[in-house]
Amino acid sequence: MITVSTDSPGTTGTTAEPTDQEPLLRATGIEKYFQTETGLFDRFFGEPTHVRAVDGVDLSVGERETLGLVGESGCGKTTLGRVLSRLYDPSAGTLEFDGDDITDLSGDALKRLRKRVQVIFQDPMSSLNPRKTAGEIVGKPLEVHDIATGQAKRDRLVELFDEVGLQESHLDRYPHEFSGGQRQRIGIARALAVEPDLIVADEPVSALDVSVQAQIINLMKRLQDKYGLAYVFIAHDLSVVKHISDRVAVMYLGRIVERGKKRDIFGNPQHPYTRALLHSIPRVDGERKRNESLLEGNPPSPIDPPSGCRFRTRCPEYLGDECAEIDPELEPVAGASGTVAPPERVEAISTDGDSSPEHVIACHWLGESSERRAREDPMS
Amino acid sequence: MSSRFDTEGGRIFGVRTDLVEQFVNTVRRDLKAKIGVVIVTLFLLAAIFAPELAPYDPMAQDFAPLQAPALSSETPLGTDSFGRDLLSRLMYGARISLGVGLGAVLFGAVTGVLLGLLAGFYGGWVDDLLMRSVDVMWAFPWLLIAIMLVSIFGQGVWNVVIAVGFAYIDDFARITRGEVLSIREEEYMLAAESVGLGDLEIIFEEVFPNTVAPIIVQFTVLVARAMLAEATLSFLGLGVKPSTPTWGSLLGQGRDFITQAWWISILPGVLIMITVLGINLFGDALRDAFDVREVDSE
Repeated sequence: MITVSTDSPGTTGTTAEPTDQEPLLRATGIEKYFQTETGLFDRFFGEPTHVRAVDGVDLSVGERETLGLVGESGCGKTTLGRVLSRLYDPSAGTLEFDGDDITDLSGDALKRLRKRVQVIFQDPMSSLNPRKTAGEIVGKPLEVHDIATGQAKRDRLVELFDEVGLQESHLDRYPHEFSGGQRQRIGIARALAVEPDLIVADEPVSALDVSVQAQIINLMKRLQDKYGLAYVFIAHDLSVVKHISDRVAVMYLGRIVERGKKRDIFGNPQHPYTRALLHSIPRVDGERKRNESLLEGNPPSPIDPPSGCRFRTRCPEYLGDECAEIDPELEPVAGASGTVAPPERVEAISTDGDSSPEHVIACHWLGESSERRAREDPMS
Repeated sequence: MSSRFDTEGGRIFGVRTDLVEQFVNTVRRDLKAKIGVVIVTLFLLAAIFAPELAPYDPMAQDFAPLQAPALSSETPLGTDSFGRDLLSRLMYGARISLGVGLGAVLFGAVTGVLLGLLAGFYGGWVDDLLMRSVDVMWAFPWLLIAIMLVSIFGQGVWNVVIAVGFAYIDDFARITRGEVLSIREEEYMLAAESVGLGDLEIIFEEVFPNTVAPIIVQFTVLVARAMLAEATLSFLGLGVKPSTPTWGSLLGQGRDFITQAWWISILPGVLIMITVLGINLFGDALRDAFDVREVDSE
């Protein structure tokens, strides 16, 4: 496997996930840098500075599978989603879809890819052109890809609207006439129109009411079963991802810090960051006080990430020099000396504490002795 | 359920029928819009059918000079210093004045909006190149540019249209570019890309319709300025042929007789004012019709 990460020596290409069969989408060593806005003087005399939105990510999505991608705001998950759907060009790394390299596709080949990879956007208002009717918005992909015109197109639109829980009379309405949940249904219908294999859903429910969130997630699940879709489901909230994901990847500051099957992440979380995220899910019984958070402060700037482990500045398990100097790589949890038992407060899906072979984390803590971890585990 | 969708793809002169429908609704509801439409229609008809409607030949010096307006007389709006019927001259003058006014702004709008769309959409060096060239136009007074263009290409209606309209390119380019820059940040731009639309389709189908409102406002404001600009050029003898009646040249000629015959200057002046008002009201109605949100929420 070739890794193209140029200036992040800590990343290597050896962490691609082991999968039984060829995945639908495989991303290797993905990096995406944005050059910061510079004035005329800096352009000629200054050093160019980059925001390292995504900084060396490997992941894969299998057919009919849902990969949940979780992290705080600003961790690069949206950027990663846009790179995966080829809305952004990666700065480095390779993307393979269905066995073909799609990293540098353009023109007609890219258009053909668009028919197989679709996107659902975060903001259901901003993602629909206010001057087009719902029918025009959802009908556009049918025209662009020569799928249906005229009466056939209209029939297909009615069918699609029915599929996502909208009515035929909604075809002629403008986006502002719909509620947030309905707008997101339009966004889903647009993505579904071309019958794609993969849908990258970028926080599709974050802007919605909690009751509506459940409806949309259930809708997406039903569509997945019916059409055999694969999802990359991006969210900043682990509880949202829990219901729909088969596998989960946790991102922090442009990197994946923990990745595994759903039961690994929810039943046996190992990375301190994942544990903190799980800990922060609000609970119905109100047992925990609001300020009792494991995480303090904000993530550091992705322009100048911390040396060594990126999470060390906020890590409740900070071990010292090792964390500050060595950038940890993703390593399998299974077989590592000291895994901790699932914390009681986290509702466990699987209580056996065993990790699947694909459960990996990037953390020096993994190598520590179980006694010390048990002693210092903030969640026990 | 009367469905606008049934008429999807229906177009009248390239304009979507549902927009026409909305425009009609706006006019029906709004008195100001009605006034605007009536004024614009009336003046356009007077201009178009001037040869049929005008009572006399605008060039014929048939009457006693400097007759005051008297509705019952042969010359209801009076005569000018050469004894020509002012009503006929005003009607013929509307052709040039409205034609140059609308034509010049249209020329400026089409060119400027295209530049603004390209500059805003592509950004980077395209933006720099296009907008810096547009900025150069700020360095010259419009009148100098107009004089230069007319002296290069000679007198004539089309040359006046271009000479006047040239000065408006930068206004439209800047307004459009600004709009595009904010639209570019909207998620529906990414959505259009993910659907598989090409650049041109995105520019004209997704971006342009969302920039229309401020462009229409600017259009109606500038039509007034263009009519005055034509008057200025005519006054300087750089417009159309000096004897051809235009509102601007009538106004200018009347200046010499302002103390004896006020009507020669005042009447074209009033017509310019009413036209400007009418076009502004018309433009507001158009803008409301294009703004789907405003129309539907009422």
